[in-house]
Amino acid sequence: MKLPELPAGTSAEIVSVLADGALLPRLQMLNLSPGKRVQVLRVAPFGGSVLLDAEGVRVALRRSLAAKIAVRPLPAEEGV
Amino acid sequence: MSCGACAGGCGRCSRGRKGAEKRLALIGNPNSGKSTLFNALTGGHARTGNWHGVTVGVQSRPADLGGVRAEVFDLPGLYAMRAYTREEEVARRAAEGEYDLAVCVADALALPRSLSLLADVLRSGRPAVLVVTMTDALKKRGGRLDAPALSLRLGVPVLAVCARRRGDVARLCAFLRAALEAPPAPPGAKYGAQPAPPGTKNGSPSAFPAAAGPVPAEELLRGVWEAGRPRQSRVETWLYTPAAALPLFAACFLLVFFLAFGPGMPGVWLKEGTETLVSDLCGAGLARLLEGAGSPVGAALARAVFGGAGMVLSFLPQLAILYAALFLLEESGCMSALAFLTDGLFEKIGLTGRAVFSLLMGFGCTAAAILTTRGLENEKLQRRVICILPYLSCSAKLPVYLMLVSAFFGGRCFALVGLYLAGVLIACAAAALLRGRGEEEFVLEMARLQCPSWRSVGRSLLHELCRFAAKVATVVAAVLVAVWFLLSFSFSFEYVGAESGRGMLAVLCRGLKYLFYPMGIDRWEVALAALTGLIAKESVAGTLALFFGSDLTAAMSAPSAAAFLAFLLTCSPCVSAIAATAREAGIRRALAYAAFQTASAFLFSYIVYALLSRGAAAAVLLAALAPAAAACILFFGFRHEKKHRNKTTVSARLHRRTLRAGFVRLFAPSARGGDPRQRRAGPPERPARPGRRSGLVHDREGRGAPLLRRRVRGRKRARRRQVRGRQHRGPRRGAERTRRAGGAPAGPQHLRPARLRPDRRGRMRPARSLPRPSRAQRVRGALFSPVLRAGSGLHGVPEKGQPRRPREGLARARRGV
Repeated sequence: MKLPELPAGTSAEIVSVLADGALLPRLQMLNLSPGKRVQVLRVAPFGGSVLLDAEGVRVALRRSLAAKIAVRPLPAEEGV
Repeated sequence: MSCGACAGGCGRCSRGRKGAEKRLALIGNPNSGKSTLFNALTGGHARTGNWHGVTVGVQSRPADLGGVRAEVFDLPGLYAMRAYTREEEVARRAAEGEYDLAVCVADALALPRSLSLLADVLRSGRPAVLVVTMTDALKKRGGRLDAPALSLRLGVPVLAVCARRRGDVARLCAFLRAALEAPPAPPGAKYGAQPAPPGTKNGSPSAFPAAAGPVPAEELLRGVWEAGRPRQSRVETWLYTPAAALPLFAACFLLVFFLAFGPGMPGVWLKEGTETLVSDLCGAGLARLLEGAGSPVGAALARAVFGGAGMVLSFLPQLAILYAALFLLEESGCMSALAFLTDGLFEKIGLTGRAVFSLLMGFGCTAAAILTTRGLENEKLQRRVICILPYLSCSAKLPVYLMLVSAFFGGRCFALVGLYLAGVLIACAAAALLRGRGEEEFVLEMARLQCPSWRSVGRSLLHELCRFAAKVATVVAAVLVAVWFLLSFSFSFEYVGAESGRGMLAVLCRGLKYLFYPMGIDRWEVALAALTGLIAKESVAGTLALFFGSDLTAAMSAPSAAAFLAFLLTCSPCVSAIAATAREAGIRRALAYAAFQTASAFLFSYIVYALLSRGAAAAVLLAALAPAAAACILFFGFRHEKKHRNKTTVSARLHRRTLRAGFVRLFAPSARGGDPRQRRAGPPERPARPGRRSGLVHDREGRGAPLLRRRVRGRKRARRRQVRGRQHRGPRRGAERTRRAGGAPAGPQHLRPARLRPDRRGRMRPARSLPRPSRAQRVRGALFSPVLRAGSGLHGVPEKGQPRRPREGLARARRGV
């Protein structure tokens, strides 16, 4: 499942990140790497970005970029 | 002293350096409080704000650390030594420069992340200390930090501070002094350098391995640091809810405008008071004194300069209100929320949410905003933002707007809001026009919301206002004096008076006024005022006041004033902004942008004047047409991509409609039905490879269409020979190929019966080129040709007069295979 498909308020575990180049270490610094847990906090209007909480780091990601992140949804009680 | 590029190494910096002065470099993650510490240590005025990427260049100032002189360098934020954005590149280069002590600044709430940067610094063999900031926020969240224990574990001196407290700043000074006097032990045996097993629990000096792979920061911090539980406050909940936040922001902006420009509001009466004070009391008083002393020339100069400067200076209170709002927004951390909310809109016009920082700053000062664009994701994006920034009215344009608006139009507040909105709309339109094909990436860490510190807002505000006043006192006053001098003295340096029209500038500017004729302005003074705007936008108001006082009705009519406003809104920015552009994008681009903007501004203002003066009919017509046109562009606009394909001898131009049709998509474009030229977007292209026929590029799965890239030069012949299955076409050497493909009779060409064709005059002649291959041949060709095999979704529309591609054969081939 891709990250933008998650509705706001759900948690998931990152399975893979398909970014390339210098973006990958950047996402890693923002706690967006396989194995980390993320929670979708909000989805911006106008098809904009998604607001995530990645183990304490709050990140806004554009949807096209978020689509490169595959996640596995977690049950509600397991959330971060 | 400051150097934009580096903290050390370069000759520019070390030239001014005293032998004994030590150098400190503040290195840390973005938004960890480096600039705040820098200001606290040096008493400087580095721009601070609660969002990521405020500082984009290196700056330095001397500091007195209780008896020890040191030079402190403030670097842009850096996540890791591998740079992603350009400001990080600047920071990385500076961090690799020369300095005596690296002060690693870490945000207490994101400590694990900062440690990897510290490890990078230590690995480079430099003495370093760790300063953990924002301890108050950590305490508020219920976290804790044991700095001495962490220091023992890391083997690096650690200090936890809160930069807002004065006592903490003194402690920091003492800490840095001690570190400078007795540099921390060489990092050879310390954290980040020596690979050793994880250390002990009792806090003895231990060394965690960090030579390879990520640092196990969580393990390192276990027991000495706790992050606490983040709580989402009610404000945050509201701010991140789009339905609530966007109206809230809009209401805030309107409120600020109303406070500043509304009738009877503090902005207006403070302005009137300042104007009276400067021009009437100071200027008139000085002029009377000088007249009494018997110097009419001096009195005229005093009146001119104080009148003009007072006029500009009187906008100080209104500017203060605008700047205060901007700084409050920055300090509170709402900027990144705004960036998150607006990214969707910005995506439509080819920008990213990060641009909101620069664009908002553009309302303050265009030159400063241009310098902040370095924090944007890539260079093309940066250039686009630089191009549109001048359309957002900077604070220096405000005086002249107010002057014109109050002279000609009622409802000052609404007129101003309209002007600012018009600027924003023009900027959006320009961005949409300039947007490229590529998709931008947007990833931004959100700043934590906090109650803005009144002290830092007040400090920034005071600094900004002092800068404005200093600019009026120096640049604007100098312009006014020069203008006055050139106006009042003729070419033989004889005093003729400003009103005589025989001064030097009056004669020179007569030629310039013709450019303003189509705006209905025939006074050369206005042309001169517009020209001085190139030096500083404030001088436009000053120069107009010099000639006409505050009553501008003598200079122009109301439609002309509107056209002049339109000109000012869109013309090129002042020289300092052009210089900033030159620094970011190169001098040639800067000049080209300025020239284009000025030319388009003239054109735009001519149109405005023509519409307004030719009666309301044209305006009504336009008003009716504009929404319709906008709707067309928004919903039904589509883009075509043209692909030129010259597969063998048939050259065809293929159209395809891109999927990003229109700005707002009512219906998802589908590959089927409707427009036959529509084609499904394929997976990513495969690049051209030497040896592949021509420059055709195919997608990986073979479902998408072939795309024609540039030919790989110089390899055409060699490749042709390698290619298999190139059976049909090729008029000159085609016979042999046709035979090999099994389509035409075998045997040497001279043994085959010549094919006869009617030539232009109707006589039968042997055909010079081969005829079109048979259908069977074409199907076979389609099977072998990588082009056609891949081109399942390609519905080409060949140029007129050219044969169509064998479509049905292809379909059959596809079914069969």
